[in-house]
Amino acid sequence: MSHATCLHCRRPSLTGDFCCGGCKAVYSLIHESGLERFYDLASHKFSIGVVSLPTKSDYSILNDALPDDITEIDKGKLKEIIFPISGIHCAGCIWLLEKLSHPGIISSRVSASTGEITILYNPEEVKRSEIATLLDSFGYPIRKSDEPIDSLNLWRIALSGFCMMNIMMLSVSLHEGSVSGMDSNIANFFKAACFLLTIPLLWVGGAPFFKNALIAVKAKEPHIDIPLSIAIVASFLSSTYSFFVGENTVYFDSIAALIFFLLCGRYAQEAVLSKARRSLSRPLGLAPLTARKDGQVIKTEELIPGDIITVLPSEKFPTTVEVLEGSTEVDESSISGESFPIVKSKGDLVEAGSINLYGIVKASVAIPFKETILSRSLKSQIQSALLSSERVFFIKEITHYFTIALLLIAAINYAIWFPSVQTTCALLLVACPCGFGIAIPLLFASSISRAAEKGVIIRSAAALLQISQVKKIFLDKTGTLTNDRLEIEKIEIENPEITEALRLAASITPSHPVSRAILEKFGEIDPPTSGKYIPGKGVSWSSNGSDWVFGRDSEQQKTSASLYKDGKLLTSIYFSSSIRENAKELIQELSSKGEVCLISGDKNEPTRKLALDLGIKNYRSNLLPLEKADLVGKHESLMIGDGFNDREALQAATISIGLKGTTTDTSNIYIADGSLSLVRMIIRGAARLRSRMWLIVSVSAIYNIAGVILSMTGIITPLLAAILMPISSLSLVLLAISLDVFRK
Amino acid sequence: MTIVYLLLPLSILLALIGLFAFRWAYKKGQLKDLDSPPVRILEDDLSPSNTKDRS
Repeated sequence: MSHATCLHCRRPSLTGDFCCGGCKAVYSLIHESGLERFYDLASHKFSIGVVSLPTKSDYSILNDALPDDITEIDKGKLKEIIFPISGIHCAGCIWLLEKLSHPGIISSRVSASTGEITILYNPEEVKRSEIATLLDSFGYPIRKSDEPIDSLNLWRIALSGFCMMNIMMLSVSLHEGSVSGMDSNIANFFKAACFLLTIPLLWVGGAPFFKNALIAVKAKEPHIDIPLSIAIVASFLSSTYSFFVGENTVYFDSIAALIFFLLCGRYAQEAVLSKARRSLSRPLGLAPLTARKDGQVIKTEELIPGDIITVLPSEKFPTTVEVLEGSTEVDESSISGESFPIVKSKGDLVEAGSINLYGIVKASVAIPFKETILSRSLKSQIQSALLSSERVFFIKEITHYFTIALLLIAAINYAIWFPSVQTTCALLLVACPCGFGIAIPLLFASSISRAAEKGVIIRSAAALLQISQVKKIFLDKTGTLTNDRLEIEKIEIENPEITEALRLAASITPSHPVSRAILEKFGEIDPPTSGKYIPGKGVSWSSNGSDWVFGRDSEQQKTSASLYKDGKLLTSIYFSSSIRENAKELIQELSSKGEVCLISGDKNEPTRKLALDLGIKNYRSNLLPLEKADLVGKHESLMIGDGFNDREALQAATISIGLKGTTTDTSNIYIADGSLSLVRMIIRGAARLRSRMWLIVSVSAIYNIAGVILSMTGIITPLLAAILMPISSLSLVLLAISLDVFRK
Repeated sequence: MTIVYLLLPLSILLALIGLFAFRWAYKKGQLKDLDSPPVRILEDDLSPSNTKDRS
């Protein structure tokens, strides 16, 4: 089946020229503004585009108060404002954003690296909210700002590089001089220079390692930085001692190279992670910024339980509320992945972030915004990303044993050579785990960035490793294996009159999923003037002298609806969601790995049918979110799910793959466009990554064992150490970056 | 060879100037955005209305 491509975002589109209403709107806006050149420049270069939500945010609150995410500076009469925005992915975006013309906006400048736009504007002509809305309407919603990262990193590398290169230059002369006979005064002078250059190197460049090691020691947890720090400090002290008593065994050059390489490796890893983190960061407007209380607009954060608020049609619920008056249907699809609107009437709780589809609702606040799942998920996302950046590249068990073994060997070695510390220092330095310190972090960082290019965000590389080990695989049904859009499965009696009536019915509530399915199949039409919508029941109208009703048969029958003419049943129409592309292939591949189980909150019949169609033996239906989590949490498991109702299960699983929607913050691995072929890619890539990691570990072990033997026998000299160290590091780095684990 | 005693500190001093020039540029934020400038320089400074004529 060939796909049309969306004219705006160039993703495959099933619905003609545009994949969604959002893209269509942006496309026409760009044309109206005469900015078509955007499409000549556009390509996906800087980050993956997380599809922006079609619901636009209300930014009016920005006029009264500025959240911490946005900074503003006074420039005389003008003001300069910096918005963190999402969606910058190519030269076209930069061009478009810097060409924005709007009265009051004087200039704008984009920083693609940080994902920020700086706008100089005249506050008398244009309001902040107007600028924010303008950016949003072009598809660049304001987002939450980044967590600050260690900005000293680059300076650390520069200083370490400076010291290292000078030390290297002097050391080459020293090594050469020791062969060809160098004047001992000049040799001592060179050594003194090396010594002096090593001090700032340790002070600035070594600091992060010493700090990590101290934290790890206090927490009584073996960490890769402990042996590193010991090696660095011990060889520095012994070299200093040798230098002052006039011996030849100084290792300043090896220390310098070690620190510099390690810093570079960690910088690369941090850069990759912060990029991935930014493409994940949520739009600021995802949570409604304002609420309507007693006819006034107030900040969402200021709502307290018991407040009475009004929510108008097509607005989002600002916090979790209990409905007092009125009834409506709410769209929770962005939160729960549930494609059918849910009827809410007096006494029902509505989750923050749901969209009110039709009626005007009066509701009392049940819990303040800060305690809603929406708010907590916005926060935990950032926290977990930060946590993993420290833990990801730390392969616990291996480093654990390695650290202990290394320290033991060093102690034995010291006992043998007592009281000389020379060989022990050489041992620590040569055997120091470069493989773990540099190569494995790089392997993961390069895999993560390669995955990000393809639209997969990997939050925890450790999870990627575990994928090849799990034996139980759980899959969600709706949205994961089936489309969350509805399709018409069957119309019992079909004739032009009925088709016409269905189109009319659908046009009354065009955003209803059932209506969308009808309109997609039969085409759009102008709504009848007499159209009326009854929440939870259906629609009614009159045309051609007859009264029509189209609606659900009962609360339970979600997947069918009936059409009545003057109170007489004309036909019933059945809806279903189709199986997604690649679902079959994925299931086949997963079945060869372990036991596949389908878990769904849906009814038994559709679940059974899907399991049968896809060849899944185990399935469970009618599960509540927490029951799903119980089931998943019992085993070492992989969970693949998409919606809010999978949150608990995704968290309970050993490893989770989230597709689209709100799973960004609960899953270890997140697939932005939800494609199942990418799930297959990840699973294959994980196996490759694992074998490459073991290759690196083995090669590194060979180097280390050789180093240990050489130093225990006392053969190793500073020259040998200086040669061995970079060779082992470089060859391991090459091993790490040469493999694209996610290639086809 | 005694000249080395003078030349070595001198060479390091020279390199230090470079290092602190880097520090200055870094503090000023010149390295903050490495992605947009290479793209920007390729773009002629056309106003949006002019671009229409090109296509």
